Amino acid sequence: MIGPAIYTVMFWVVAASTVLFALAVVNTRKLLRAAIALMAALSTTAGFYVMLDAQFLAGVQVLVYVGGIVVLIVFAIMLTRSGELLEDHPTPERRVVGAAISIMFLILSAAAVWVSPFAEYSTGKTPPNDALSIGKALLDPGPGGYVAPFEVISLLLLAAMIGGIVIARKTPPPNQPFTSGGDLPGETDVYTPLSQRDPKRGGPVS
Amino acid sequence: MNQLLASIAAYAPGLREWLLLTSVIFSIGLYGLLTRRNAVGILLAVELMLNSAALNFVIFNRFCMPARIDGSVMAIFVIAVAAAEVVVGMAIFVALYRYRGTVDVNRMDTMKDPVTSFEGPVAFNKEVLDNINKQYKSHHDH
Amino acid sequence: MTTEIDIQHLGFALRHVWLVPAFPLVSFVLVGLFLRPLSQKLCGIVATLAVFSSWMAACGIACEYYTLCPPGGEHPVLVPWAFEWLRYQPGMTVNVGVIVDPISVLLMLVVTTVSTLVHLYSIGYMKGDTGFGRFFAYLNLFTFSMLGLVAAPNILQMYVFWELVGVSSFLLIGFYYQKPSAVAASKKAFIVTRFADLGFLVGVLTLGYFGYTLFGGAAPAITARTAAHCAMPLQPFDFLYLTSPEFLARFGALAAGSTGITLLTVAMVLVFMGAAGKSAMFPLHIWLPDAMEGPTPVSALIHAATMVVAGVYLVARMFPAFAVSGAALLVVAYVGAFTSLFAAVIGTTQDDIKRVLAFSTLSQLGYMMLALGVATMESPLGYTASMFHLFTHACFKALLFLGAGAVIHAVHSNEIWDMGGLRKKMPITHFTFLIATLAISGFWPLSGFFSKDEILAAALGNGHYGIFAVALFVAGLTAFYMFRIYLVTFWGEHRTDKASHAHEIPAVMWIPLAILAVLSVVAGYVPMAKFVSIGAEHAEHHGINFAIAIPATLAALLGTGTALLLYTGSGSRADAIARSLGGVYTLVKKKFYVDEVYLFVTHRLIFNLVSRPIAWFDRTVVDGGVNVSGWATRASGHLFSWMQTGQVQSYGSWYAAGAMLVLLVLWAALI
Repeated sequence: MIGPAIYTVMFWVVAASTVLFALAVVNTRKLLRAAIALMAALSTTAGFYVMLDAQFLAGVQVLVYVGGIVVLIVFAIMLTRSGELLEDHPTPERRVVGAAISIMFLILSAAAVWVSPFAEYSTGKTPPNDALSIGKALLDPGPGGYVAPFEVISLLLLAAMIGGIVIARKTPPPNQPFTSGGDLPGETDVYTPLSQRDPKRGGPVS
Repeated sequence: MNQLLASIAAYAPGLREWLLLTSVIFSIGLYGLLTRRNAVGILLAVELMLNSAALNFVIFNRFCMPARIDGSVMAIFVIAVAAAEVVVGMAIFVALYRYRGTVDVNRMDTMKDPVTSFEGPVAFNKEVLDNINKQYKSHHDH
Repeated sequence: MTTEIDIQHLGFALRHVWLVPAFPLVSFVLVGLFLRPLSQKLCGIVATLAVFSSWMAACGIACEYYTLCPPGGEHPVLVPWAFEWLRYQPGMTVNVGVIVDPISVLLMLVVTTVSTLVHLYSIGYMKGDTGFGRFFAYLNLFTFSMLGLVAAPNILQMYVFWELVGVSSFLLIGFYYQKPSAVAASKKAFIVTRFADLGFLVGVLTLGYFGYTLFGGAAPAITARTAAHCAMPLQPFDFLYLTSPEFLARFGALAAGSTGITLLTVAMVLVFMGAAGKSAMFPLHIWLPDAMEGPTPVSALIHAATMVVAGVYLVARMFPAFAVSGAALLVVAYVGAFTSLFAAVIGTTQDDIKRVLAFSTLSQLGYMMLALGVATMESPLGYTASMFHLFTHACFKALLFLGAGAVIHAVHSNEIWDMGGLRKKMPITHFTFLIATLAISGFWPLSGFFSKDEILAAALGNGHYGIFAVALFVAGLTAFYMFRIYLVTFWGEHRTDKASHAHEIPAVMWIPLAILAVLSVVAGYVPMAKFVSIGAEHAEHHGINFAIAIPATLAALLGTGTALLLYTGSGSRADAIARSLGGVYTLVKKKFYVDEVYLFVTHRLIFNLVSRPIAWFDRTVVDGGVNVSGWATRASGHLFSWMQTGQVQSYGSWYAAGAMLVLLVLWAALI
């Protein structure tokens, strides 16, 4: 009897802390703190994976999400100097609208969850949820296998990598600005150094 | 003691409780998405939402078809997509910051026509066009 | 009585009749799309060879047809090849095919012969012109359309090709589209003939409607005369159906309201309106003289020998229906006779060589029409005579136009008073032109004598004495105006420097002239009545009827003599007569002010009374409505523009709210 009780207590405690961390992610004025809160929320999610008998996934979550993605986000914060600045508060109207919409969404989805009859199936049988079976499923070309999505995802990652490099590169090739006409004039100008630009229009100081 | 443990275990999370948890996380992410002013903040909120979605896959896997591992595979895919998204998002923000000096989304409003009078757009567009032409000309003169 | 002919026993040419129009069509596409930029020479050769192949196919058809049905006997109608084109409902289908009967064989021969010669001539005439390839593409298009028209076994196919020849005529009249006068002339020709075709279309639809309803969708039994072989069952639009005695008996009995005129007469007059437009009968003749703006080979081919006789051909095709109506046939006869006289009178005063020939064409077309008009099913000599005259006229009128083209080519002017004395400079042209002039004037033993003679005999034989007198007078006038231009052009002194430096045309141009000259001489000896006839009785015009030949020859001699008297030596005698006639001369010279009347009606009356109110309505009401809708769109956009903040997060909020709304609706709908 001690097992289920511990499990239950753990769930509620971890769930409550996850919600708190999530609230911190969206509300702290310092972005770096928000990133740390996100890291915490993702780590607790890894805990959830363990509780759902997906130990391998928990490992992946910690390695990729917490170790990789959050680090990338921290890089983004640093590179845009967002960490040094205190985040401006959103306008009250936007807060109200955002809150209303997210609460409405919560009510809607909770209602949907509550009224839907799910075909629950609990035999107590241990799922073969280990790295071996996941790896086999990922590379299985037969029916129910995931080799095609797996290849597509690898292509996507490659494309994202190349895209990231191309977009964030410092200077475009000569005579080929990235943004073509249609924007404000200054935005087609990618040659003028930042310090010489008109801060209002984004273009060079005239 | 056993009775206490049993009464605690009676609150063990079922499928609905798990789903409610992910709904809450998702809604919080939605709120952040709609209110954050910093683009990187929005990215954080999106990560939160993606994470809750991935969690949903695993939950359904665990409760509805425990003999299979499709939910876990899907969660891995979601994580991979999230990684790709963060890479591209970060690159865009860095580029944006370099060109505009800020990543405040409230100032990214060039899709809106700044002049809203009835006859305005034509005159404005003409001015813009002239400006662009002038700039391009000076580019080529260099 | 003819028995059914099995398709397997037909010869090659009859089994593949579609080859005749197919050659020019293929060549049109080839020249128009591919060869045009490559080489002028290639364009000309390909186009000419295509039409020549078509001519050979037509000759094959003629030989096989008259082997199958020897001349002098019955002439059954064959439709050896057809396919279904439009199916409206069972019993109401329109086929596309090729009809083979005496008049279509005759027309195919005439069209391909003249077309081949004109193509050949054009290689020389158009040499160096920037639009050389375009010209040959258009000529091919025209030849294809004309052959399709001639081959049409049903009136709807004929209507389609009728419009196609109209388009090619439009394109060729406006060939020199940089010239405002050519553009105006092409527009005029198109609008006038389109206006006439409106009547034709209404007539076609009337016939088709009653053809379907009177028999409840079942084809009437076809008499033995008509069909020996049909590739497809008869349909209400088919000529064989529309001219069958069963249909005409029922349709002829229907009265149009309480007017006492039968519906058949109304329908046939409407059809004749289309024929009159294409054949330029008074008062729809105004386009033809202006059509001379086109290159001269075009005038020879389209506006003299082939397209303008389409109206005559149509009346001949529908002849049994006209004959049953009677009144419609009289309309044909009187319109033909009046046009013949009217045009001949104007022709005596014109100074532009091509215009004189144009009015002469009008006059001769009137002749053909009046010949059809005086024929009846019982005494159908006029029918044969009309086709005979169509045949001979095609030869000598094409020759006249090509000769005129040669002269214009040499002198670079259309005015006969700029020419003169070309007899010695251009002997071949002069000789062939003389033959054609003699032929059209009706001198024995040239072709025009025989066909005119037959027309006069037909008019007299059926008791149309007034028409006979008019025709006789026109014969004299014809001789007068033809010798007038002949004498002024080829005799006398050189009136301009250009005329004195004129040169004979190259061989590629005079060979067609020579061939046509030979044809103009011998065409009269074809025993046409043996080949082309209608009705049970074979009305044959045996030998020379001196009671008609003598007055006709006298009239021609009188006309020629007057011309010789007035236009040899100094021109003072002609001027003196013109002065003494005064106002009458001016009236004729100005073509009886018909064009001015048209201008008054269209520009003053229609423009002020109809067009202006419509324009006002369009500008205020229609445009106003459009403006209001535009204004409303802008105003509503302005009203909602506050939603368009440019902030991605407010768009996101709208999106999320909308998505949830859709979710709710779906949920409500699904549960």
